[in-house]
Amino acid sequence: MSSPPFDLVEVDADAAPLPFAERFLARLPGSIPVRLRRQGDPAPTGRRTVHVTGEPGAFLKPCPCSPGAVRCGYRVFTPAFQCPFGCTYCFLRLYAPDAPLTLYANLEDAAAELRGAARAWEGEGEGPVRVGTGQFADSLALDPWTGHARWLLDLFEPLPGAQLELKTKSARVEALLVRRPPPNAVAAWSVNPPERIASDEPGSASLAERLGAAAQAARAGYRVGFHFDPVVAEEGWEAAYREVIGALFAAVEPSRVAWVSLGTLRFPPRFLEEWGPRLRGRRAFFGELVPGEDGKLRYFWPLRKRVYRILADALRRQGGPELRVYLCMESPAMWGAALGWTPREDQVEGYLAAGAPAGASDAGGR
Amino acid sequence: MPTRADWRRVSLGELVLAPERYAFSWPGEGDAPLRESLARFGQLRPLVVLGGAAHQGGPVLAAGHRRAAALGALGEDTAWARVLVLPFGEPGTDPPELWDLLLEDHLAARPLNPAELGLYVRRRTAGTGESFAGLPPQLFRRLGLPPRSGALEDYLWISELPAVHRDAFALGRLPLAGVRVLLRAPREDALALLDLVGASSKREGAGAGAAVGVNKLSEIARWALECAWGEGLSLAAWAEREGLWAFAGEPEALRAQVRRRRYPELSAWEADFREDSRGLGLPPEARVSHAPGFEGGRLTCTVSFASLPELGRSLDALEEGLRAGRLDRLGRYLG
Repeated sequence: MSSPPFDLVEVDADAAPLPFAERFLARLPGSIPVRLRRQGDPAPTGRRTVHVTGEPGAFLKPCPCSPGAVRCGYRVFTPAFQCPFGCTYCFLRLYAPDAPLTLYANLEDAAAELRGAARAWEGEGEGPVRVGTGQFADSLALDPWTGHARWLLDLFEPLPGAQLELKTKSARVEALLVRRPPPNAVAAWSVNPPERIASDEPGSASLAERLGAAAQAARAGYRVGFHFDPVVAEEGWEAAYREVIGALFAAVEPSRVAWVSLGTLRFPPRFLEEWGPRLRGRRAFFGELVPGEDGKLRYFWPLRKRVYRILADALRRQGGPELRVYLCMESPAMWGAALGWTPREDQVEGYLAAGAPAGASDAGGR
Repeated sequence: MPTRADWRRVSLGELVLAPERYAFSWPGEGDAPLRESLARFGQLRPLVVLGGAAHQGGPVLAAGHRRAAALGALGEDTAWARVLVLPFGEPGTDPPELWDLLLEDHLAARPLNPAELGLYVRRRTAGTGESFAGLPPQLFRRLGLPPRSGALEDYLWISELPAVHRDAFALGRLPLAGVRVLLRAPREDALALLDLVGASSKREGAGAGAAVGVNKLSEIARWALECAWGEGLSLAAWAEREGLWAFAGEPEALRAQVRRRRYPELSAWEADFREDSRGLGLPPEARVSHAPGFEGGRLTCTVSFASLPELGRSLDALEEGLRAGRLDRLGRYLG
């Protein structure tokens, strides 16, 4: 096991006796100092500190998406918050720049909440509902110490109403390979050209490592997903992304790909106010991004449309027409212009679930 | 509050002046109107003087520096003062109540402008040793601000600007709300932007004094800073390279120039669209427009009419233009 991407662990006194905290602390190398936090102690800060605590609120929430965008029905499940990687374009940099790597120890509460929701979805014939842990954290980056992957796979396996997505920029798939893959689990990777990963995704696995891990997961029987997000349309982007698509399908059979999402670079205007001076000379972040209906800055419509059309076309050429390609946080108009269909509110979920094995609903809409 | 105060005439010649410590009026306006008022009506507001342990041999003037100077210029030897029995100590030792009193003295005459508010808070905290976060909530209320130290950020930033730019905010030529965008920019970029906007331009005849609206200032600031940062240049160097100093002090022209550089493709599309939509041969009552940024790939056609027959004629003309292919040039903006 490589050294952990954190230097200090702070454990809330009331979280310390919980089984997750005990297991996590037992897996730590001796070199990592552990502090017990009492009520009133200063709150831990910084992405090099792990904070083991309790989550008093909900673990399961609808993906926030964006006003006016086509919602894909995704749910976010959050046993952890904050990511050890310092990606330039990550929204966590803006919304939670100093938050520690937070691990919630009351996983029994999380499990109960998920089981209840999944049974309700199943009863309503709504499933399988996609549920991911990679929105507010990287699903696998800390897995050697958290053991989250194994816990999640065990939790989801008997719940056909839910479909787990473990989304990562790491190559830590060890926990996936040592057990039989549940039919309702998808391992997914965010991908970008190698140069972009090197310049803007510090600490994460290289593209080759990610695709290698995806290939291992696929060989082990998992379906895999890929997220081209954010697509950065800097000079030479088309060739660079075509190469990524080529490498992706060289690593993984199209039949093993559950879905591919596309999302171009976007951020609230505040992002450049906060980070602009530190991105000086990085032209990629100062392209023609204009405010959309939701206030977020996105590439100028014709450029964005062209990006989506080219990437969707390249993906379908190599992955086949059945490949499930969708857009993240885009309007119905962009879906129509780029992908050729404008889904209704509830159709994306069905379309993406159609590739799922037993228990999945119809494709719907296409 | 200071324990005791006497109201009496004090000798102007004996007063020790401490404007860097206690004065926060800005800008230092000409004294002519004040002299005229004093000559006509006499002294209506007393000076505020610290009359405890004397500093450098005399009582210290805490409020009324301009009044004292104007009275002296009118040949007066003495003035009415509220003499506080209070020692003049090192910075950091003033009682907060003294600063409350100085604020009330100012507010009795006129409200604080943004530069004065920033200066007051800076000088108060230096004088009393209070921290920004430790200022009492009632002070924020008196200043008309929400009771959190973050509310002071804009004012403190303005109070540290060079005098020429501080004047612009104090006199309302630049809007307080425009500060937000500049606050997080490196100082040299923010100052260059203020020079460029030219509310107090260094250039001769560059429109010094023209007021700039919040939106315009924010847009110029945001676009110019993003252009400069994207190029890896300081704002001053970028503006020099782009020849923008020629537009300093002309906010409207400057905005157009900066926007064209920030959004070159969008600007080109907009120019093309203007051209294309002019040549459609539409009836004068019909107008075609696009969404901001051409978002959505849809155009809007608006037809105004004063009667139903007029509407019918316009729609017929539109249909005829559509059939004749005169609207085909709009195709590139659709979808």
